[in-house]
Amino acid sequence: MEIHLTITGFIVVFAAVLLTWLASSIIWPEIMPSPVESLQFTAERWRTLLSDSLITLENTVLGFTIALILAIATAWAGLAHPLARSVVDALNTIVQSVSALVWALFFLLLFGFSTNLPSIAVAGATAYPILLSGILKGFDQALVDYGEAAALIGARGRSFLRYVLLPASIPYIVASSRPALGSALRISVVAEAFGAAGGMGYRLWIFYELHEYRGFLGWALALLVMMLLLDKTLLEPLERWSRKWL
Amino acid sequence: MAVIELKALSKSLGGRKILENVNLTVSKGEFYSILGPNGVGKTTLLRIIAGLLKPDSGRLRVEGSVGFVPQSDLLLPWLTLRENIELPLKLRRLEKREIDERVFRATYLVGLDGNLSLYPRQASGGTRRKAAIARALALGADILLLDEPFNGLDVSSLTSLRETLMSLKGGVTVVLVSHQVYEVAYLSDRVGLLTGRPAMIRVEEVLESLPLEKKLLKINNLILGLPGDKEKE
Ligand SMILES: Nc1ncnc2c1ncn2[C@@H]1O[C@H](COP(=O)(O)OP(=O)(O)OP(=O)(O)O)[C@@H](O)[C@H]1O
Ligand SMILES: [Mg+2]
Repeated sequence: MEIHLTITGFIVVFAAVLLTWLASSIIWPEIMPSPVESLQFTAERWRTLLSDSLITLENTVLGFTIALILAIATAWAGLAHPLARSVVDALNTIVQSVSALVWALFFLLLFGFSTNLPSIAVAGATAYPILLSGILKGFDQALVDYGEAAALIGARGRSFLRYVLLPASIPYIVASSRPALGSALRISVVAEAFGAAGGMGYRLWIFYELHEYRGFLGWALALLVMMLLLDKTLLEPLERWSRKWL
Repeated sequence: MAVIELKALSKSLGGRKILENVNLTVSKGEFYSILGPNGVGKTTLLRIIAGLLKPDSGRLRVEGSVGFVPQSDLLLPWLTLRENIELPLKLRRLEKREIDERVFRATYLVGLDGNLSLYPRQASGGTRRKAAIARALALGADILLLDEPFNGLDVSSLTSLRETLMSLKGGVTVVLVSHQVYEVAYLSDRVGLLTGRPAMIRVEEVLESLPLEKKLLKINNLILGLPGDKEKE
């Protein structure tokens, strides 16, 4: 029943979008291609679409993974000493407030316009604060819930991290991974648009420059579908799994 | 021979004196039970003996390896019962064969014949307590500190856990905190009453080798504050 309602909701929204699209293609025929034209154009270039998707996915996942490792390391360092923790808390507050646009421009300056590095770095920089605050919460709660258990079984130092802290924080890590990966994907595309060797954002920008709105809309739609697929087939099941023993 | 010895031990928590001038001696192989009202400091006392808390003053001598089984059994919920018992052994870098042997022996001793591949939340309260005791035994504990192990158990789990403890009697030294008068009487060689604010062990009674009704009577009188021995005359 619930799943049916969810699917119905999606169908209604998609139908509304298609109708609006169709209507605007009738009102502004010179600018807006019809959905059929757009989809046809995109389907004919499925190889390009596939390779663009893979590049974007790779940039995003790489950036996300680096951010995840860094966030765990940061939170772990914060446990060493109250002073270290205050530094981590300050860092957390500050990185939460940096705009993604600033990151994008900053990494473009740093890495130049012709590689995937800015896109990867921006994805990481966007995911990092979201992951960090989730992991800090997870670690704090784990200390309250399992600190004594750890002392009891003699889990200290790195074994404490590996056998107690990380498994106890998995629900928090996974829960923050969902928005983190989502934001990383949305923003890495922006970095690609500014200058990159490929990817969804890069192609969107090219289509825009060429006034090829069929491709622009097709790629935009594909990006949306990619996001949804990632969330529904990977992140959501992962989140459900991680709450299994809660 | 005394394996636990506390002399004039005091402890404050949160600016309040919880324990003052606690004296306690437990001999090797003895089953000692502590009775006392809620919030008096029984858990605090066990945590001090387990080395999880430092006393403010007084002397503490513990000879042997202590296994603390806390009020909440503190099993890790993401590990199966078996993995919970194995983990501390793994952390001590024991060999796989040695670990298997110890887990087998400990689970046999506590009568944990059921399914060790259950997760804690799938297991009954009694099974969880047994697993927590097995974890302590597998680590080589010869002193067991049990904090209200019978709490919240149904009659059959409670009976089964009681028989488990009975079968361990003599082999290990046990300090039990419990509100279950029958179980305390059934199991204990000696009981102490922890009362007052701040608390100390005010009265002790030797139960060893008395018939069960006598033990129950003595404990009743201890709790009611009646003189323990002369009562019958
Ligand atoms: N970390 C702490 N900080 C401040 N006060 C504490 C702390 N831990 C325990 N206390 C207080 O110390 C007193 C004794 O607590 P303890 O848990 O030892 O009692 P208990 O006899 O085990 O009670 P119960 O029968 O409810 O288990 C309580 O009043 C409790 O509120
Ligand atoms: Mg207690």
